[in-house]
Amino acid sequence: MSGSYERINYALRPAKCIERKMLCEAFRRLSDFRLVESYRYVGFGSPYFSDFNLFHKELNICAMNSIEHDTENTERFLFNRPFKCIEINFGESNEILPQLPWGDICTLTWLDYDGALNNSVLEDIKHITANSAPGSLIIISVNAHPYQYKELPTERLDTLREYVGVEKVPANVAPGDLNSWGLAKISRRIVQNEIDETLTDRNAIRPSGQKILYRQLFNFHYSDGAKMLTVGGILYDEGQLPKLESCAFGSLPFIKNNEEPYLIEVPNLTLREIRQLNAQLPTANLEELDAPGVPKRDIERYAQVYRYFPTFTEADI
Amino acid sequence: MVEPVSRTRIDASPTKEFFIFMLTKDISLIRAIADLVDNSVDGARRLRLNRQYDGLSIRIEIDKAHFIIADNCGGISVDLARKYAFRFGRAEGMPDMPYSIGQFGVGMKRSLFKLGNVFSIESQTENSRFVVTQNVLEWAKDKSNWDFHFSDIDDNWQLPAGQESGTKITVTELHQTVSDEFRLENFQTRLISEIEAAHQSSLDKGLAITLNGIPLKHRPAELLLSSNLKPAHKELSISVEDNQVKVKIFAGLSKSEPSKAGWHIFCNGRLILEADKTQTTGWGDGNPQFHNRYARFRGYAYFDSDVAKFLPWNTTKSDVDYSSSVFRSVRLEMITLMRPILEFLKKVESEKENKDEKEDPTPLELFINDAKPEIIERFEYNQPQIFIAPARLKGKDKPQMGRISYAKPLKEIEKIKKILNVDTYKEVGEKTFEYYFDLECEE
Repeated sequence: MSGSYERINYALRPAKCIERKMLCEAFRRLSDFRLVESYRYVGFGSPYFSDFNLFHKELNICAMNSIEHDTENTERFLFNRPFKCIEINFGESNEILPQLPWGDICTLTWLDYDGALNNSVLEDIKHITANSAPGSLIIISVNAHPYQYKELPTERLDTLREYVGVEKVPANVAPGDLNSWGLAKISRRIVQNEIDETLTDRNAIRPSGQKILYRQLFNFHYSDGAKMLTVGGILYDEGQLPKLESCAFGSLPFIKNNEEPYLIEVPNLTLREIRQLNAQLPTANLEELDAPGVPKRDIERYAQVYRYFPTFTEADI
Repeated sequence: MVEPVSRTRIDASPTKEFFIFMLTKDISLIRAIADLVDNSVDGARRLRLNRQYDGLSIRIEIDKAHFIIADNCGGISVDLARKYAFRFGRAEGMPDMPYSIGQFGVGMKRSLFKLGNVFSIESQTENSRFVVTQNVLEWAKDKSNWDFHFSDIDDNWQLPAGQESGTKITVTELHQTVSDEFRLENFQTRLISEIEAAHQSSLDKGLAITLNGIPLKHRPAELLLSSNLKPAHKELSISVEDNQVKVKIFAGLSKSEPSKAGWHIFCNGRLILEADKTQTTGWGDGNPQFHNRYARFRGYAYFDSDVAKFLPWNTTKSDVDYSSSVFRSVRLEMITLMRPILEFLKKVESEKENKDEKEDPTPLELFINDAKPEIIERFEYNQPQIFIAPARLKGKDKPQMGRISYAKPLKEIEKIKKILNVDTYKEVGEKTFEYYFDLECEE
């Protein structure tokens, strides 16, 4: 089976690129929790390994597992592995996740799926939530573009039920809730419900004061074509609350603890415009920012993401 | 010397712990709540003998600290509360409520114990009102006294104009596991879905039920119907001790969905068995075991009686009472009615296995696709009907066919194509087969 990597070079998707750098910045905050380099990273590296590259270089994470479901081109993936410390596990995530050791290994798991939220994704979420050591992060990215329909948009509700199972669709979701960013919002809710329910079972025999809790940190909406959702957060032991607070995630503007999303918007700017704006940043006064002829809206968007902004140029290598 | 009476006496009296901690193990949390809904539905049934419930409502609210169920379905009279409603087990002398759902005298208490430690019941009827508030653990301390007490009572009053008669039950100090579940949206979704299923016939007749403000929807049972596809139907009236149990059975086809396939059994409108595929409803007994080829099968059996105890349900209303003679005899009818439907589905499957192109629907599938879903209550049957479906088409007179497929070098195939003057590989295969058959096999 082929993946979307054959159609898109992940490194070139600007919103995804910004998101990756934002996640990296958030991961760095974990050092108050425990040494970031002692975490393990589990993800879907594809042949580009953009996330693995970034997290190894920036955070010195060395225990890395890339789950790769394309079992027909193993040679290609092994060849493209950028660092020796990356282990590639060939197979579906449903199959590989239970094979990995979990125990007390603090893990940053970012599963960046090609498709929409479905039963199989929920199974992965359940497994990670049930097994991650306290202090671990679970992050899920899914396609949240409104479903195609044959005749009426109301068919979208049936599609959602088919994808995730009737019993996972909250009873007050109406067919009209699934247009625009609606599917992203409902998908976030279903992920949250899956985590909540799994933790309730996991906590059933844990003494009070030692329950495992989940705090959402990420709720990104972005679009490099199709609408995408990235939702996730930290699993921690009640006793670790002071540590969590000292991470001060809240001071990062893109951290979101509830249903309100952080929308990553990427303005199209030239290199000259970027340099012109960078020279004026950071500033508390966005009104004063100026680049000749660039719409105010784009300047504001840029100011929000400038530290994570990718620049693509043609390189003769 | 010990007195003779106490020497021979063996203590077999019940304990409160049995009711509080053991009986509650037999019922799931969702079923326990459904049981309380049953009480409200019974109120609606008493209030509206014509079974039209417009204007009547049941409001359920759950959160991590509370459970509330409130209705405007007539309320419990002081007299009924004092003598019967709180007894453990149905007391003799209790008047029969026609077509009621609650009848064992365990439902309400078991549900309250299941939920939490403190309950309060407020009820007002046309001419009486009361409040009972009880802390269960306090009550359990006194081993010998089983009474509850009214904390407020007025058995000589008039329902003020503009107020509605009804009952409100509040449970607080929820058990930890209950509180944990109530916080989960997934639990609420499951609860809604189960109550929708359990009370579909009451919802269908206008009863409004809400959970945390979300209105429950009714999902009427439907079967596929067309001019040459007719579901099976039979009505029976069975006499039990001078009372009648009326039974209606429908069976036929619907969308191919394994999770919904099987028999659905209702007692006085309450679903007690959903999509059953076990021996209980005749699978693997006079009929084949369930298999996904039967995923289109749906059966519905409705048992109704004035006297609830003659209906074939268990106390948690989650299964049939298999030993019920009424059920045993109806089960035989069910087995008979489902037989031709399963045979038909077997044919559909075998047609599919033998067809040429895997994608196209087979002739029998086309017939099924032509049929439209119809709500079973709208079927106009005056007499028993066995399942009618189109017989297998044409194939009957046609000899049994088999398929041959093989690969040969392209060069050779092209050569034959030229000589035979045909365009397709299929024709090459057929012509060469016929050639061999004519030369070597013809007698």
